[in-house]
Amino acid sequence: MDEAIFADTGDQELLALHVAGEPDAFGELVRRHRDRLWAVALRTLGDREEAADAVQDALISAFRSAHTFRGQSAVTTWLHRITVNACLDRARKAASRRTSPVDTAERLDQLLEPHESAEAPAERQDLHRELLAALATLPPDQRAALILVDMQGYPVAEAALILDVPSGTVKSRCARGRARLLPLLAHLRGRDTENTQETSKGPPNTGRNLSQDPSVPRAAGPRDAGAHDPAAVQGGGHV
Amino acid sequence: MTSTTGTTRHPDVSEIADLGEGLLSPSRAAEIRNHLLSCVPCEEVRSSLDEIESLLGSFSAPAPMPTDVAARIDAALAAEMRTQDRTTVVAPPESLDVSRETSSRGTTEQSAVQSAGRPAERVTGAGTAAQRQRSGPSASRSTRPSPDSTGPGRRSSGSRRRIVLGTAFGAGLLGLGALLFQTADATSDKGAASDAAAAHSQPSADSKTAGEFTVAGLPGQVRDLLDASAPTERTEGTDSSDSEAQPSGTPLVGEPLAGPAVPPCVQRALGRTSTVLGSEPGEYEGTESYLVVLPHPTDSAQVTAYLVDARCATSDPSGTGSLMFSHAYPRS
Repeated sequence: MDEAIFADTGDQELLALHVAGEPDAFGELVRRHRDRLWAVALRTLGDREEAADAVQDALISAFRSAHTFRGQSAVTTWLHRITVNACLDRARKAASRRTSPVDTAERLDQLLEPHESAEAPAERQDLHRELLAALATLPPDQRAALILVDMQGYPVAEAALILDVPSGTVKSRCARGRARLLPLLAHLRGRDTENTQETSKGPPNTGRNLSQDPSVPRAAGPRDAGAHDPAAVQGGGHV
Repeated sequence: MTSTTGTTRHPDVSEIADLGEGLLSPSRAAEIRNHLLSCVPCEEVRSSLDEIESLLGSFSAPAPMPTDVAARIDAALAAEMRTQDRTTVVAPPESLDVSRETSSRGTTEQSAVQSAGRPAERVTGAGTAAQRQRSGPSASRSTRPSPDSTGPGRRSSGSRRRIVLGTAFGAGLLGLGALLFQTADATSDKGAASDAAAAHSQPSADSKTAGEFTVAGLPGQVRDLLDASAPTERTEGTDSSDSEAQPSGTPLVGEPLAGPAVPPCVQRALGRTSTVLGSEPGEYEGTESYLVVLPHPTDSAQVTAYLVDARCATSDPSGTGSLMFSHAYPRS
């Protein structure tokens, strides 16, 4: 019944209405964007409760600070930025709390879409589960960039606005994140008989216990900068 | 790929990844591209990186926010709205003015932004999900899980009308809203007088039996209120939503918040000054409350219904009541 009310009202107008005291306007904004915010939060944090808390914190913060919105970016970008920041705060806190990011099978399963678990072939599910587990081991900045760009398909420029960093930094974080996920692929190929050559080269068991092994993927080699930001080490022509 | 660590002349995995993103200096990029031509393991690293990228993109469209999470967030925002209502100053009415052109422009921008979220199926997926969940927030506030919102309220039309009259007479006796007598005239229900007296003499006790507001019943209750006050509105001869959108200097018909009288603290909770189309005391989730119906701020085909905690009338008459619920409904 209520979807028609604000149907012609743009996001920016809705936010203005909210600032002006219209009690339903912010709720409409939430309804419009919550699913995408939720997807980003759930995948960034890998935990349903944490994601719910993060989105809630973010939306309340947006509710309060709506009058500070200056329209320099789209409302959706602004909401995403607040949400991603809330997620990254939580991810960093969680990282300092936990000694290892143990990801139980159930917790990862909740990240797979229900229809996916029902329909997708078992191998693809396994693959996705391991990919999520590996993602969880990445530094939050890289994780967020990969989730926005590679997983959710946001353009780099949009992700840059959301993360409030230059586009080059988004690209760099994506590149480093993918590099860190490589051992996972090696592991997956290890199970694949067609790629025996690759298998023989890969270190035994790399990624096999990924969900229990929080250590930085070894296969990236000693020259991979590892835990610290490789960009700083390399001083390449990028941000 | 430990193969890349075999000799020091192999580039780092991260450099190969940077190459893919165009982050290397032209000279270094050329060097590495050259190397990849002749080095099978490094070329495999490069293709594996591409594969990682496409694997990450191969996840299904994200599921919509679960209804329990959505409900929880709506509740948190409603609570936040209540705290704000107590502290913030009411915005001037002219800021509610929304022109149609800007609206349509906004819509275009909105859809463009949505389609930026890659595949079209995601957008539509989110859309239908949002629709599916429309009933979520309202239902979550109601003790009744039933989304059947047209049923309950409408049947009790007669008694509702009397309650409105009760409020009307009470207001009239207080000298607050002359317009209301028209409501009484329009209905011309003799039996209402005694109800009105009862409602006036003991408002709080009476409201317990007066009516219980539920989210599911509100559409009917709102309609009843509108039906009851329709003659009043017509006599005014104004489109109240237009008058609300006028600059604040333009005199509105009657006082701000002319119409069925509600306690001032309840008025303040609305955060708006416009013609009250209808109001009614009752109970919402066990709390003494007022149902107040105002024109929708931007859409003349709609009204906005508010449920406001009425306890402020006795506990803090000069304060601001808390808004417990608001929702828009079609005007007819």
